[in-house]
Amino acid sequence: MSLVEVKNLNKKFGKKQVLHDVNFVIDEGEILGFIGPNGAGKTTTIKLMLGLQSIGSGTVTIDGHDIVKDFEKAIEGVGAIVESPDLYMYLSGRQNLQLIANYYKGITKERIDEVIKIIGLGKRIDDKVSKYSLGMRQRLGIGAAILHNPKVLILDEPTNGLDPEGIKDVRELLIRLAKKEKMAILISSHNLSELDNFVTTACIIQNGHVVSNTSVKNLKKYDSSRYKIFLDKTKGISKYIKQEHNIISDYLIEVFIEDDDVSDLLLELLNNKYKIRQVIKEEMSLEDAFIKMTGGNTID
Amino acid sequence: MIRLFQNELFKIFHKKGLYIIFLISILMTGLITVLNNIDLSGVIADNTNFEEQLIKEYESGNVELDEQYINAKSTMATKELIKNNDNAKKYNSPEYYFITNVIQPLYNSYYTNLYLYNDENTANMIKKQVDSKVKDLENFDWKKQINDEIEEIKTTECDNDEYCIKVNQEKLFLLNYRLENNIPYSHKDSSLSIDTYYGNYMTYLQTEKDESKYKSRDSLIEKREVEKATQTFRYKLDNKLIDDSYTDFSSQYTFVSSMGSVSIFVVVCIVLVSSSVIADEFNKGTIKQLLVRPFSRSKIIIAKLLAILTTILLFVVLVSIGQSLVSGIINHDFKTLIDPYVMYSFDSHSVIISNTLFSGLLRYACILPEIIILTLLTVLVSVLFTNNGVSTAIGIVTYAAAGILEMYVDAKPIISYIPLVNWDFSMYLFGAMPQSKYLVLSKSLYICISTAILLFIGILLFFKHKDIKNQ
Repeated sequence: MSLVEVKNLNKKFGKKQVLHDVNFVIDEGEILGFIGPNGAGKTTTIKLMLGLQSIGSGTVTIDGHDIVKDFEKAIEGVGAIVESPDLYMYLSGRQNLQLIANYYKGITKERIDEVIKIIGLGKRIDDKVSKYSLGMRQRLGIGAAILHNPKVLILDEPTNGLDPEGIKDVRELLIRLAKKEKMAILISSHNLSELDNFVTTACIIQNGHVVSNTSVKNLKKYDSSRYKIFLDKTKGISKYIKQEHNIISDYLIEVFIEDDDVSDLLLELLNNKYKIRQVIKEEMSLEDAFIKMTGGNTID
Repeated sequence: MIRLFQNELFKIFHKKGLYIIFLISILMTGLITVLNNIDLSGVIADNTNFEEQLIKEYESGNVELDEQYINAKSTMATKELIKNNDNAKKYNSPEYYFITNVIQPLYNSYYTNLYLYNDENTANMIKKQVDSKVKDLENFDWKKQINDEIEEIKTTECDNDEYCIKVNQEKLFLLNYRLENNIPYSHKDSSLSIDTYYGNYMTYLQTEKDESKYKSRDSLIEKREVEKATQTFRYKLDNKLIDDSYTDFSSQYTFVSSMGSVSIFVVVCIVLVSSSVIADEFNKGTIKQLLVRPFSRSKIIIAKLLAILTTILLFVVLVSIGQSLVSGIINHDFKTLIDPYVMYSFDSHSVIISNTLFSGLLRYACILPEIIILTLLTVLVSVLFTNNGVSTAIGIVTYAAAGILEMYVDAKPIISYIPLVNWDFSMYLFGAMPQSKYLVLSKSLYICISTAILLFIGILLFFKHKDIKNQ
């Protein structure tokens, strides 16, 4: 069941159209990676989804409620971090969580303690947030977003400032929330390696257009696979390879080729006196797929 | 909504700025009260160098003698007296007052006759008076001085001059009051207030005598002020309410006046709280934490407004209590909230007796429109510009502008439609007369209420449609 539906979202800043008919859905238990270069429209889309900016045209529906017409009901089931975890620096971590708990009915002290445990801030939770590192603030921000057990979690660059261990923790936490709590999660990031092997769907946005919205599996299949071939020499090899390729060194080439065509290529090379030492199929990363889709990190 | 309101208050009361302003405003009152109590006699008695120098210069023969020389001579003579009398060294003592207010003028007259008029006979006559007064000083009995004065008045002939009779009657009344209530002439507030009353009474009699002179609004207001001062003080005299606590620095007066005035500290509090609750949240991004919670923007801004107003209204009350406690401690005088407080009604031309608490609250009600409009204005500016500097500047400039604009209402009647000159309702309290004829209670009410409504609608609309810009 779709918990989030974004339909034909358009937004202009002055005369400049920054979002063009953005469409996507997020189902229960799904983790959608919202990917795009800086300035592509990720944060703007998120702000429109949360009612933080006015919508030009189009609709955002969360758990069946329109975010404009039925704001309070729509937003009740949402937890979010937008841009950065903006917390009250002059209050302690616990006081920040307590403030947020007050906005909802039925958040007990036990729930606050549980969240403190989840985000791993146990010892420092009563310190003022101004004394926290960026990573600790990020954890507290996540705590603030999940405190009321939302059905939908929207996280804008939540791993900013986290160390590798912290990133791993967040990844595990989100996987758990998606699987156990059936949360629909949107996570935006420009660090694609963090999202790899973690998000279930990738929605790629560029210059305000969604250029791809498919499962990560499909995305990686989008184009040919990449093979590394080690040889005794590479001189003059290009004339025997029809596919896109790079000569990396005197003994190594990289070829983008369909799996079915690999044997033909190898035969051709053998026939032309090239000795093949090793053939490795490289799994395509999300980053490769992204670069393929967007043609690099450029903003038009 | 209540939870929103509670959260806003929680945030406000966890900020240090508010406490700092609170402490400064209390400390300032303490400082002013202490300065008021400083004994100046030491400074007066020791500093004779200037006069000595001046006298030497004159006596060298190069400079013609004039009033400056006479003043220096009489000042030197009185300072010598103060030096030799231990009691007189205290600024508030009857002896000091006697020397400076009775003997010094006599010295002045003596030296004038001697050196300027070269009238030795008169001078010698006055010298005898001086010597007798100086002798009085040896075992100073202030009651004897007052009795002498009473005798002198009794022998004065008024020849059926009503004004003269009334003045003498009042003089006798006051002198007897001093005797009965142990209030010698001195620089103490109780004595000075009797002197001030006497001055006011004389003016009051004059105003009654020359009714025709008081036709202009300014002079009419002046007349009414004298009437008020005279009548309220006379009531206090009649009811034996005069003591040193009935002054501008008493704990009671401090409380009532503080409750009824929007001081610069209150304005700083308004600006500080409004910017921290609105502009700061936008600037630091924390507003996003609030806007993604299940409350409409109208509820959020109304909760914020209520929290700001509650804080400011509480601030005024706490500062008033704090300041009156400080004055009480410094002056060793405490009045309770139910002690009587004398006010004056221009409607009935009589005094109104109330208590400290009610008088304070009444004054407080009069400044509520000013507080509410200033608060709504700074909140609107905060919402529009989300900039602490702009909202601070506009808040303080508006407050300052009100004082300036008030002076020009008569010159430019259009100014009377500006809320800033209408928002202090104490100008209408008990039938009081505002400075300008263009200021009328019903008009002020209408202007203040419509301004508040307009500002409130503006805040609602702008906050509701404000986009959270990308960082």
